[in-house]
Amino acid sequence: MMPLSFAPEGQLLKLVSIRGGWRVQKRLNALGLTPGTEVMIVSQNPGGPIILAVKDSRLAIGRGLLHHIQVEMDGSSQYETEIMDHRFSRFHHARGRSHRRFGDYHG
Amino acid sequence: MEKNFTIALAGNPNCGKSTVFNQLTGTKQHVGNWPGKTVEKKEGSFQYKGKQITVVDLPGTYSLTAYSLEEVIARDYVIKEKPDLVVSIIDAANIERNLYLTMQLIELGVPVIAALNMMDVVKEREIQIDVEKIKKTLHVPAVLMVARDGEGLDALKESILATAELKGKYQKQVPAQFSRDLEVEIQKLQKKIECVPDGEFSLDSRWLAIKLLEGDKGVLDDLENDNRFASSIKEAQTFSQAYEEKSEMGIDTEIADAYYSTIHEIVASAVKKPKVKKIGFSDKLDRIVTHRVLGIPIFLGLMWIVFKLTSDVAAPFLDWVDGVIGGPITNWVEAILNLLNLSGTWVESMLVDGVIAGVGGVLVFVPVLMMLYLALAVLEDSGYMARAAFVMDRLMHGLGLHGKSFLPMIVGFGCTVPAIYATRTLENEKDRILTGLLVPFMSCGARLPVYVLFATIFFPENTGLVVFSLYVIGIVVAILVGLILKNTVFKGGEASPFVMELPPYRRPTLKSIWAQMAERTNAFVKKAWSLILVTSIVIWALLALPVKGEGTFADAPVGDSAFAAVSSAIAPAFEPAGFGTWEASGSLITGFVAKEVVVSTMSQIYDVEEAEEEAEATTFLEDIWEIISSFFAAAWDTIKSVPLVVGINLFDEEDEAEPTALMTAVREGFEESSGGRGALASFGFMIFVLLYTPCMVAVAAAKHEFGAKWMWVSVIGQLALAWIVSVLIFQIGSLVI
Repeated sequence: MMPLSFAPEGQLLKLVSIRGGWRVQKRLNALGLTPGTEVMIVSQNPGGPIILAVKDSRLAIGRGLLHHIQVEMDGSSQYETEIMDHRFSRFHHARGRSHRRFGDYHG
Repeated sequence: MEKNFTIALAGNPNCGKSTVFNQLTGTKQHVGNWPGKTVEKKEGSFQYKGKQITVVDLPGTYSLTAYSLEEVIARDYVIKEKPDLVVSIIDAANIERNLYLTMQLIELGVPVIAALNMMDVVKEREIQIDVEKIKKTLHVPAVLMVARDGEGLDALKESILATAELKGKYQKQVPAQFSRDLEVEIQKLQKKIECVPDGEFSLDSRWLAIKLLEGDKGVLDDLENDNRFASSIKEAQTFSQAYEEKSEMGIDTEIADAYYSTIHEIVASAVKKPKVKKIGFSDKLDRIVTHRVLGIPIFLGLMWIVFKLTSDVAAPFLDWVDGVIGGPITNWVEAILNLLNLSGTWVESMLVDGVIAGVGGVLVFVPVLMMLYLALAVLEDSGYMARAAFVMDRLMHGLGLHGKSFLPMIVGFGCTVPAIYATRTLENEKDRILTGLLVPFMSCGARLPVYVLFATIFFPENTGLVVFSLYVIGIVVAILVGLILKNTVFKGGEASPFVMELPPYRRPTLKSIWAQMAERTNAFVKKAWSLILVTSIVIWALLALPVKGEGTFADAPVGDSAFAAVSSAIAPAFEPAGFGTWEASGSLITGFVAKEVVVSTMSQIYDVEEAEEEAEATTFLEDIWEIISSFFAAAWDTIKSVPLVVGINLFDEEDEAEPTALMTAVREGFEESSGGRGALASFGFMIFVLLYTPCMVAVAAAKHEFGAKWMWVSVIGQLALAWIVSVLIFQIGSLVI
């Protein structure tokens, strides 16, 4: 289990719990996020919001909220994860490279 | 007499609800605000088989909890106004999430029709929906639609009529299944509520029982002073506390979960999707548009186009409107007054200098607003607006603002009026008002002539730099004021978390864009004209009324007018800022009418001779010809200005050299009032023009959007701020220099 902020991109995840106030809970519930929901990070910007695939919609979620959402890797998915992984692999490579660049810059 | 019906449209944002509304009602619409709220209310009507059916468009919401203002409005409408039925519009391509609201509507006890919209997208994505199963499992009628193309509209109308006529026989059937403990408790509470002795009481008892268990704030507030429910509320609280201790989930999450499980079952049986979740076109485009490096340049580029549309591209039409009102229309009014033997009287002066000038001042903004609404409609309908908020969120977040606040800010550099209307794209009322308060600090185009005049007079070496610094100061002040407001007035309450839906990209339709442009511009003209007319007449009257000298009403030198007297009375207030002359304060007063008027008032007051344009007498037909031909000339100028959209052209507009006589007069006036520190005082004056109360049209817009209270906060707050800053500049500057 991990907060959504640490979850990898392009992997199917299962939502475990949402912590936070009543408003946050209600809002996320209304947008389709309840425990057990399958989600996937479509893209993320370091320090900025992420795009999350939830049911058939795409949600932008701010960094501040990501820590409140606990997810786990979803092995028993109803979708074909293999194909997903394949589709994302190219993108993943690009991302890895740029992360290093980002690190170099700071170092 | 035939019975007429009232129905409401409910649905998620981006489900095509307004398209359905427009298709149903056509041009028979009324746009206003929900009473006491800044949320837009749309109402319309249509005829079907001899019945008049009124349609109320509820705000787009994801659920009916009391989470946001929009949700409260939607829920209260259904509970309190009791429409004959609610059409729940569902984005069928996203059916699982959309059905959540539908379930809540059904739970509310109102007859519901499920309108499955966007069936074209469903087909495109190779999704199959068994509508008969949906009907059966939800126990409501359902229709399939492609609202954009008007498909399924007749079926919807037919279903509306049939359902509305059956209203008396409607039996609520809730598909959601809760855990046994919860269900037992709901039924227990329900019975208790049904025993409440009251004829008036008409909330659905099951719904109320659930809301009490959830501890719904809105409902509890409503029932707070109602003793009849005290014991039910208490019981619900005891139960939910015990329940929450026993299970890990809160009762409200449990209930949401139960709805979604039911929905999941319905969808599993009625909807067939291709197995693989496709990374679609939208996702691919999003990778570019929301890219961490490319995102901001793309955003800024698009904002630049919006800014140019509302300034340069709208300018020829603005001039055209100005020309038509100042030329032919004024001439016609004068001609009519001449026939009535009123020529040269105060009536003529009031009509021409007060009424026409005032109304003209409103109409001049029409092209600007149409351009803004065109841009907004394209950005919103295409789905980009949500991405813009996504991209800018990090930057704006530090200011306590929403990512979407950036757009109004940019538009504000062109004109404050459309910028205030652009705040409408923000979902949260707090964000909307805070953004609206900050927008006037973005220096609008009309303030530029003032800067240019003063900078040319007092800083001939560094004109460009001084003008640029004013723009920067405006931004800095906005940031500071934003931070202060965020930590004071707008503090408290849970900050709204940044979470929003990114709708799939869609091609905007001409029809929808035109509808939005026409409707919103129309709303502005209707709302703004009265306030502006009154203000114009007051200022005209002050200018026309002589308080000394030998002038008569409407024919007196400016220096003898009540206007001069009022200005002189105010002038001492500006002494600490170094421009305590009646000429300066007077031009600031007229600056309230429109900022660019500051310059023309100065030339009027300093009595600089302006070459009177001797208008040639024209015939009516010549006038008409002139209006038409100049319209096409304006259109041509607009087309020519489109390439300008990419070019930067801010400071080249130092246009016609101001009459040197005026410049000398202004210089002498400021040097004298400031004790030889004219440059310093003039800088303070420019800062004052930058920061003080925006023009009356902007004030009218603020009242329209945020209500009278916030309008006054903006008017008085900015006046005070402008005074403080310009006094500080002069006083501190005097010590240094």
